[in-house]
Amino acid sequence: MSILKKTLIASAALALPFSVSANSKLEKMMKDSSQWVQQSGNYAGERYTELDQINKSNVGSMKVAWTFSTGVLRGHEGGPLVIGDVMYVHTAIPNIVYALDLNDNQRILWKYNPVKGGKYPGGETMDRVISVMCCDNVNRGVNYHPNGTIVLHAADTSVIALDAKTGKEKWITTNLHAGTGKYGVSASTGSGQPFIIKDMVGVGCSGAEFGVRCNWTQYDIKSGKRLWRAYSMGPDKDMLVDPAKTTSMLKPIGKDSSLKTWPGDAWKIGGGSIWGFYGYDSKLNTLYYGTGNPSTWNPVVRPGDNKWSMTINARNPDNGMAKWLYQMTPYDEWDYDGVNEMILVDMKVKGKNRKALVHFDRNGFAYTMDRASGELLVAEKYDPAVNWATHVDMKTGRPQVVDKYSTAHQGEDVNTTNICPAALGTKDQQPASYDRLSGLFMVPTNHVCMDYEPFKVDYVAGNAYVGATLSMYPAPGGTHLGNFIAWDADKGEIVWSNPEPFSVWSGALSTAGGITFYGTLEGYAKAVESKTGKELFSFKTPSGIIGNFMAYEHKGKQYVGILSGVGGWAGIGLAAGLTDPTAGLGAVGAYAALSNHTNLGGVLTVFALP
Amino acid sequence: MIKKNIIFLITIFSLTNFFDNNYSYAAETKDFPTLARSEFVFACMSSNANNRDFMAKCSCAIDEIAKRISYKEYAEAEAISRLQLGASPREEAFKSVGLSKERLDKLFRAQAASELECF
Repeated sequence: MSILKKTLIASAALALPFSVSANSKLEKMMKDSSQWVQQSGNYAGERYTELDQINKSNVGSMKVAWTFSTGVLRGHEGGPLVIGDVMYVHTAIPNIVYALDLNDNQRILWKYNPVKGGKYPGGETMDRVISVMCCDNVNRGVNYHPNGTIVLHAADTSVIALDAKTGKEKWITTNLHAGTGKYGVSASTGSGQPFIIKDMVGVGCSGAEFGVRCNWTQYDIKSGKRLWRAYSMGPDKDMLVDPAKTTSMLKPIGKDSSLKTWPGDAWKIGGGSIWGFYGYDSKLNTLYYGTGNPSTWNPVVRPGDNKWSMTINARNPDNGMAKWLYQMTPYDEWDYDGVNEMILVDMKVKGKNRKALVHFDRNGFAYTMDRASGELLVAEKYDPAVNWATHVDMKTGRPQVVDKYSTAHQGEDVNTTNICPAALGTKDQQPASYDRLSGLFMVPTNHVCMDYEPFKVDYVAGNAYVGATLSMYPAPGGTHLGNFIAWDADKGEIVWSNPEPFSVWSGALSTAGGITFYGTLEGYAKAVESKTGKELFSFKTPSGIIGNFMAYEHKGKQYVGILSGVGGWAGIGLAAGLTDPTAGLGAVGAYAALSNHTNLGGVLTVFALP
Repeated sequence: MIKKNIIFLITIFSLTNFFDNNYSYAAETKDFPTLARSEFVFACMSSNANNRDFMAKCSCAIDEIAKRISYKEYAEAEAISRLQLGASPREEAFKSVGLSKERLDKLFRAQAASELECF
């Protein structure tokens, strides 16, 4: 408790005197549609722009205005920022940041590469970091603080503050030292955005596949000094919860709420990673984020609810104290991480005005909550294929699990089949948008099911701790792996649904022009009418799209930007097969040869009207 | 190298009952954007040889592929092949047989035919 008090005083002293101005300045910038100052557009995570120059009547004639190659292969998630006349673009590992001059044909003003001599700032080699990245080499983007700082959360968990003008390092602190071999933090990685609130920057961590105990850590933006850290599981003091005041389903959580739900000290390697897109309400002064899966994936070894994995957290950003928690998937048996974005919208729910939080969970349920109180208002399936639970009990908040699809009920070394959704969820991190015009949420989804066979695995620090074998395929009766849907978060209903051949893995953007943008894994950048879903525009970018759309205005003209980049270079697999028959379409052999000829990797494509 | 390749592809033919198939030409045989054709030629030349001879061969190959499958099918198979290079859960879904295999096979067949025609 004394530590907590100290933290309280420290954070109050550091944060409060400047907090109001910094906050209001950033929020003012978020309201200026000509810029795109945070990954999600604004704190509410709406991913909506008031720009309407490109609209439903003319988007069909939209053309590529310019492109920028990042020079880095592999998956490019997140998106660029625009601050004034400068665009900031990040890449997959090694997490390069470029500053581009929009006044001068996107000339590179500066380029920052955190990897020097093959090593990240925390001391780990890039190769070692790549080896413990669970899911491709992605990074979900940089963020901006109005004191002229661009913050990067690098793959080795280093938090790096850069001078927005020069790209010079202001400070670096390594959040969780990726390879120190310390019990429980041995293989943490960073892929989530750094999140700016007041004069602080907060980061989560990835690595639930490697037996880490994840946490949210808040730093002072000026010095890089650590202010507080809240673990996803463990003793109350580690989690920054108040047994009497922190609530769940409107009731106090009580003492040792987490410890009671794990066998022995399994919580020490309990996972609960945080790497999605977050929300902040400055009026309620509350930060919202979700925690990921408990580890291992084999549920048999960790009977109990495994709190507070798979949980929506509402916290005071000044001291980290939890206001309320809601666990969506107690005792996860499927890897349905609860990390997805939190969208904060003031809306009518069941006839009553609410400060709502809308969250599309990996587990296939879309939740509408009262973000002030943590009351559960709506929990409905946003893909009819979802079958692991029949429904969510609105009194207890618990999903009603179907035995047939319970991998724990079926047991170790038994292959549980036809579970929907698959581990990648009905939706993964790819963030939805909120269309202010129609009041609908535009949601990129997966339509994939799986067979899941848990097996026993012993934890070895720094090694993968998965403990399940999976195979995935399209949902029964269909041949498509994704849908792009419009969702009514009050009724809990799909309004329209566009089938897509592949999972839709890009973030959406809705605009005052009545249109919504999203991208596909084949690489199509698409625009649909927000009200109906009617496709109005489609353009094939050089690679698959897993980045998020953003918009800005420059010299009176509206632009829309999207990063593409998945796996290797698009043409590679097909054409390279000509020299390396044994590799077939995989064509890894020719890959190296080809990279000598081209520097094509992730590509930012920026569109505008002709 | 090319010869070895053709032998390999013939094996694929027989495996996929290529010769038994009265495969239907895609309804739209000219829907490949020039950009997609150029990109194929560029990649094909890069991984074979950067000379006039291969510019002709590679151009021929993509034209033959475009005769046999629609651009939509090509783009889907291309996406699958690209995704299969990855290793995350996102990519896992594309490694299973069934849907992916079917789409890839279609492209394989077109590609194999194009090699016989052009190389």
